[in-house]
Amino acid sequence: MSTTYRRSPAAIWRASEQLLVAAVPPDAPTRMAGSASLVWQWLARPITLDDLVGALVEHTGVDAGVIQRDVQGLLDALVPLRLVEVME
Amino acid sequence: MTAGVLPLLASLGLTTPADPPGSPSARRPLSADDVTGLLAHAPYEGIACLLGAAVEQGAVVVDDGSAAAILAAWAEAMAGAVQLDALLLEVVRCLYAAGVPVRALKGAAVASLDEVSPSWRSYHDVDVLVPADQLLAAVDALAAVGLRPALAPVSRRWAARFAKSITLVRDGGLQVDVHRLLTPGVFGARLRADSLFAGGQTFDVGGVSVTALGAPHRFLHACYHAALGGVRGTRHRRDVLLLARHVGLADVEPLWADGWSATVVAAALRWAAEDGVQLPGEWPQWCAVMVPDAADQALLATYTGPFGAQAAASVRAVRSPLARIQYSWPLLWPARAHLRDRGRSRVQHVRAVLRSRRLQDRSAAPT
Repeated sequence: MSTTYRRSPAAIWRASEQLLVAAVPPDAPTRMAGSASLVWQWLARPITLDDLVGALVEHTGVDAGVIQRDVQGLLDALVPLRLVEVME
Repeated sequence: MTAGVLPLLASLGLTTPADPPGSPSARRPLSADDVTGLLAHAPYEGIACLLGAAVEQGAVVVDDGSAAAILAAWAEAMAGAVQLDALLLEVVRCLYAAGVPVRALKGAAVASLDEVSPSWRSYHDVDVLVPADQLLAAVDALAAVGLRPALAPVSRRWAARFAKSITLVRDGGLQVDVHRLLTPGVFGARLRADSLFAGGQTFDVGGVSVTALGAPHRFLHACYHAALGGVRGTRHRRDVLLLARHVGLADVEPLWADGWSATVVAAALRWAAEDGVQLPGEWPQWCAVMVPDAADQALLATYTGPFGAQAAASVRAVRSPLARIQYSWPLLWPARAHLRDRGRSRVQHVRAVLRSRRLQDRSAAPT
């Protein structure tokens, strides 16, 4: 079974098209610009990395390899902050 | 200060946002100086979020430096809102554990329930309403999460019976206003407070359902805040206009019986419609034909003057002589802790009260 990811239900956040600010209390808010808020939207429900990349490729038209690298980097940053949960 | 901002926001469709908000056809260039000027407005105006949204919607065109400055200010406002929502959650959980019913007010509720996007609304404190007879129980319970009164009340008994709210602060500066009334003075005391706890509307904060006032009560509260709240700006006007889109006269009319003043609501709507802003729905017609109540109109005027005028109106509204003394005496002779927090001696305090009284008598004298 593939690993799935989802944003933490305990996360408190604000997002625009270009900005994401999120925290799981009592941690301080983390601020991210760029495509993080788009990824955040897709993480509302559990999703595999492949499905997430596929959805973003369809949405943005950007090369899958580039998106895969960016998304993996973002998930690697968000998981230790408890903003994203990994579900095996 | 608001006067310069409102026409711009109106031209961008940001005062009464259409669907979709903003109009790309209105693309308006803003110079770096314009942007600097807009971002310099007081935080209560909430400009950073609205300007950020305008840029994102393509309603304004700015240079790269200005775009970066707007984005930074918007991120700062969003981070503030996230921190305050975390505090709101703590407050709600704490009061729930203490058995005190609670309703979220203003910023967090309006952002989540009424704004186009929660990221469009900034706020700078947490506001909650508790039952009028449980203010002190709430304040005492919240000490457990490190919240303490910013200013000791003139007396605990006075606060429990007459205060609008007690402001609590935590190390680090975050602030919670615990309200027992939605507005101070006579207009606040006149509202049937228990009706505010009947029903409500929920929103999610970190996976927890938090209850706000229902939409008609949020609309009326926004109007009261705009007309009676003292500080008011673009954000307060936008709250009134946003809620006026969803709440109609038929929603509000049954609530006049709970003590809400149509005169105050009309004053807020007329203020919101200044500078050529169009009120939504049937509100323009209602404002045009609505005849203000003379007594409420006079009372309304006391809210724009010094606190003494409002306090005097409150005293006049109290019928029993004993209750008048119970209201007035702690204001004249407050608790030592209150004087300490205000950095005043008792003599200085009494002098200040008498001076305020003289000023009020002078302003009330016929000319």
